[in-house]
This record gives sequence, C-alpha cells and structure tokens, in this order.
Amino acid sequence: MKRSFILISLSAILFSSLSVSGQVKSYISLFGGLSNPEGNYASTNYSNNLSGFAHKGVTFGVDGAVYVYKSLAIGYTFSFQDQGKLNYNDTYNLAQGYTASFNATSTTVNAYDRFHNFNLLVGPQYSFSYKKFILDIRAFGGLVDVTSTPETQVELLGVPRQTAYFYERRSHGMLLGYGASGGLRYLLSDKLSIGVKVAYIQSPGTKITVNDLVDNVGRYATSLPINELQTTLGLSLSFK
Amino acid sequence: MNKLRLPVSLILIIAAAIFIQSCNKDTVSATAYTTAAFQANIDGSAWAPDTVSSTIVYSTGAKTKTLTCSGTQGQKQVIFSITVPTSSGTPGFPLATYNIDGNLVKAQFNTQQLSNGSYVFLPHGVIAPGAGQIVVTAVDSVKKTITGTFNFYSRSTLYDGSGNVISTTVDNISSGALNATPYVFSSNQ
Repeated sequence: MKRSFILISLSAILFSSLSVSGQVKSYISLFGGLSNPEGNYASTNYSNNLSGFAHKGVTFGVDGAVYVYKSLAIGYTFSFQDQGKLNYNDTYNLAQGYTASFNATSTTVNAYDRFHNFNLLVGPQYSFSYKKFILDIRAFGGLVDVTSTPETQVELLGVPRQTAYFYERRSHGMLLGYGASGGLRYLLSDKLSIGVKVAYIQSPGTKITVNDLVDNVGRYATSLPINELQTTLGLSLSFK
Repeated sequence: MNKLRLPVSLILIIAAAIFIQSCNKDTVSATAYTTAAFQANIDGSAWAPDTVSSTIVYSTGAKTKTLTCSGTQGQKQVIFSITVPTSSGTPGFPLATYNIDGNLVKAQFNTQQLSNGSYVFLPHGVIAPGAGQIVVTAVDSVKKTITGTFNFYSRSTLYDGSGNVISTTVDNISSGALNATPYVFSSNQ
C-alpha cells in the first residue's frame, strides 16, 4: 500500500512538474486484474477475531470518467471481486486453534462458499497528460455489496458441553466503501487507450453471526472488515 | 470499431473464465488432533485426558523403579505401570520396549460405573499378558519429562449362570503417546 501510494504520488509530481497538459476526453474502460486482500482481511491468525482469511483473487468490471472541467472529472467504477475461499491450511489452522481453546481431543472444520463482492464507487478524478500518457488520480466512495463470505462448520470431540456443531455463518450485505486509485493510460489512437491502475478500497465489512456455540470460548468473529489492493489492466474507449 | 472487436472479445472471454472459476464453492475440510502430552485412540476415537499423573518411584529397599502413568477424561481412565528390577536411584528410567506381562508391566482400562450408589472407575475388562506394549523412547531426567508410546487391548466377557459366554467386548487403546509428559520422581523404603 505504501509503495503504491509513493509511486502514485511521485508520478503525479512528475507529471505536474512537466506542466504539459493535453486535451483529456471522457472515457469508459473494461478492466481485469488482481485483487489482494490486505491487513486483517488477509490475516489467517486464529487469535485475531478480525482475521478474514481472504485470498488473492480476481477483479473485473467497468471503469470510466466524465470530464466536467478541463482535467477534472467524475470517475466511476463498477467491479466484481472474488477473494477465494478458505483452503486446507486455513481450516487446519482454525481446527488447531479450536482444539487448543476447548481442550478438545480433535476438531473438524468444514468451510464452504467464497468471498464475493461488487463495488459501485464514484468520486472526483484529476488527470495529468503528457504526450500519449495520461495519469488519473481519483478518490472515491460508494457501495460495497458483499454477496457472500465463507461459512464454517465446527465439530469438537471430547468437549461434553459442546457436542453439537457450531457455525460461523455466511454473511452478506450492502456497505459503504471508500478509497483511492492511480492509473496510467497510454493512448493507442484518438479513441483507444490501454492502461494500468492501482486502487485501494476499504469497507467496515459485514456482520458475522455465530450459531450454536454454547460457551464463548476461543475465536469469536463478529465482523469482517474489507481491505483490497487491486492492480488491473484496462482497455479504454474515449467518447468525446 | 473493428479494431476493438479482438481486445474486447479477449477481455470478455477471460472475464467469463474467471467468473466460472470463481463459482467453485467446494467444501474444504481439516481435522486437527490434540497435541496434549498424554493421548490415545480409544476404540477409534481420539482421547486426551484432562487429568494426568506420571510418577517414577524408586524403592531403596527392593532396588526397583516403578513408572506409573494415568490419565482420566470423560468417563474413561487409562493406567499403566512398569517396574524395573535392580535399578539405581537416579531420576531417569531405562529406554526400552516393555511387553505387558501382568506382573512387572501392567495396564488397566477403567470406565466410570455405578457401584454401591456412587460412580467410581472400575476395570472394563482384563488386559492379559501379551495384550500390548509400552515403549519408553526418551527421558529427560533434568526436566523430568518422559516420552513414549503405548497400545493394548482390554477384553471383557459376559457369562451366563452356567458359565457359558454371552458376549465378548474388546476395547482397543491404540496410538497412545506420551509427549514429554512431566513426571514426579521420589524414593521410598
């Protein structure tokens, strides 16, 4: 995150210091790339109740900007993110943690479903242009629609007070999200450009429900905050 | 617009492939077993006692050393002991494989049963000579910890009034492990 911020800042300073401003046009892009969970969202620490166990995944969608005054535009992004699902190491890690917390003889953790969310984000964008390059800096806020998160089913053996399974349920919900991005486009022609973009998105995340847990022992997650750093490639079409 | 057809098609195909892959929601499972210092598998189920006791007692008169380990969890209890003759009074214990003989090497599998109005641990069958072994693989006489394995079976037989066998039940205590289990050393007469 720091590295991306520094790169974006340096690029902005470089472009602005050149003081060369060309005509920028409103555009729409199709993009795809990698979405990396960050911070607690990526953490696999059993003892941290905010650990998300999310994994590197893909994102794709539509992005664009409408210029309203010279290089100032309103940017928008509609994207889909898949942050994978719990893998064997994650479930084993959880099983080990529960075994120790409950002093169980064994614990089986079954995990299913994936991290999926859609983002609809809008915000001001400023563009710097130099020859065939355009640097877009944007801040944004909007809606993060979490359509699913993994659900876990836990079975403890050797714990008389917890003989039934307990569950950390799948969650979903519409949340607020915000962040910033920096993108560099290269004009292939008057209308067509390709570009690379780095975006950081944050959201407080969905509430988690735990069912059938008799004693509040061990890990007890109540929310799943989202932090994503996305690196994407896009193909843009200018239309004005 | 013809220029756009190829890159847009490629992007859409890749997006579709990614979307299909992201629909993989197969269940992932993992089981973790206890890493308790004393554990075993009883009749196919992992078992780790929450009450554990291990002692090595040196008898200065008989010059014998006896290792006794016991563990209790739920309604089950496992006890075994090994007596080594002509021993020295050091706090260690000989590393060896000890076969259950019912005399110097004994084991007991108890279950909680109602007896005279109260629940007590009583033997659930008999562990006969040759029904298993105890292996002592490491002893740290400074830290006073012992490591080893054990396995045996207990056979209980029900008879009718005429002495005919009604049923036989075998309890398997397998994959037993002592993992650096602390012990207490003492000497007595």
